[in-house]
Amino acid sequence: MRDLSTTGVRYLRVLDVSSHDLALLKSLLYILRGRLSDNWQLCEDLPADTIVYDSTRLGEDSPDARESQLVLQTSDRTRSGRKLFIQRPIHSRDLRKALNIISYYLSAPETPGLTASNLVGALNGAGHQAPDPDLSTRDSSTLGIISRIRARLHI
Amino acid sequence: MEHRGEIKIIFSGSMGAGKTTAITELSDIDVISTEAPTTDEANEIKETTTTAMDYGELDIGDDLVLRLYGTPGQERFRHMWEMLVPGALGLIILIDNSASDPLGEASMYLENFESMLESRVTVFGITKTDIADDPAITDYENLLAGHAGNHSVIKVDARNRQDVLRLMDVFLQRLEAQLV
Repeated sequence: MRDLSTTGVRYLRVLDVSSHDLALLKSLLYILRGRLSDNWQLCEDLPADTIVYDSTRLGEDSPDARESQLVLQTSDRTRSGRKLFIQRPIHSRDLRKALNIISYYLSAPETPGLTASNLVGALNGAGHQAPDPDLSTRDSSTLGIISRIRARLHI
Repeated sequence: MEHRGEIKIIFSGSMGAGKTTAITELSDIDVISTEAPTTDEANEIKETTTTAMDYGELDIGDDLVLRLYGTPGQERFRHMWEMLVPGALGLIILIDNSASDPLGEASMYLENFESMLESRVTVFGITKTDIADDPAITDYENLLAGHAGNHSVIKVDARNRQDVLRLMDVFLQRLEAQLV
């Protein structure tokens, strides 16, 4: 497991989580994809030549489970050349668990700059460097941002 | 990897109120929309979908990006609000004036999301007034007057870029007023 995580995960696919969570996860993954390096992709379909591993039983091919679980796909291939998937059971409502798992993989060394805490920031919709503007006092940086938005929109 | 600074504005409103259209008018990228099956407890129809989240971006120079999120306002999407609203500059809520009870819908936002709205700039954009001109803007103003917060309301045609820019202008004015 540890060895696999250090290779970095470059594809993510979400299957059959609850509709709310799925919508949110998909959005976030699209956003994260933009933020991450080019070697990340949202995997729309599992290629036919893939095998799926349940990480709780690492090493066992469990293709049936792919219908109801969140799948993290690495770009690694097995010795036989097939793509490797790592899979863990995700309760349909257990978004936090899913995100924890994603953050675990995103924290892999090959994705510098994106850590679990950064992911939490992204999940808050703000990103890890996003300011949480304190509007209770005059905030010159926020005023500056407003000015820049105006200039950008020509308003 | 170098990250740009990020700010965000949340657009909300019922299906068809114009969220996606408004975000599209502002976004530099093709708006990403995700759909969730309609799971309204009041009906069993699940074929239709509603947009669970829209996402667009506006570049504000090389070092800053304005993220534009759209999410429905129904109670069942509260979890989306809770994840998206923290850290936002404020909210733009679009109300379809041709809906069956637009004032009630505005009320719903003010009551269901009171804690999130009262501390943030919120502009209500009233859409489809060309189809239905009642209730009037003054009716909304009266409603907002009874609630704490930095709220304002204007008519807007989300299909019209100039209108959307005016909406943003009002939003930024309210934001500035809160800062100075």
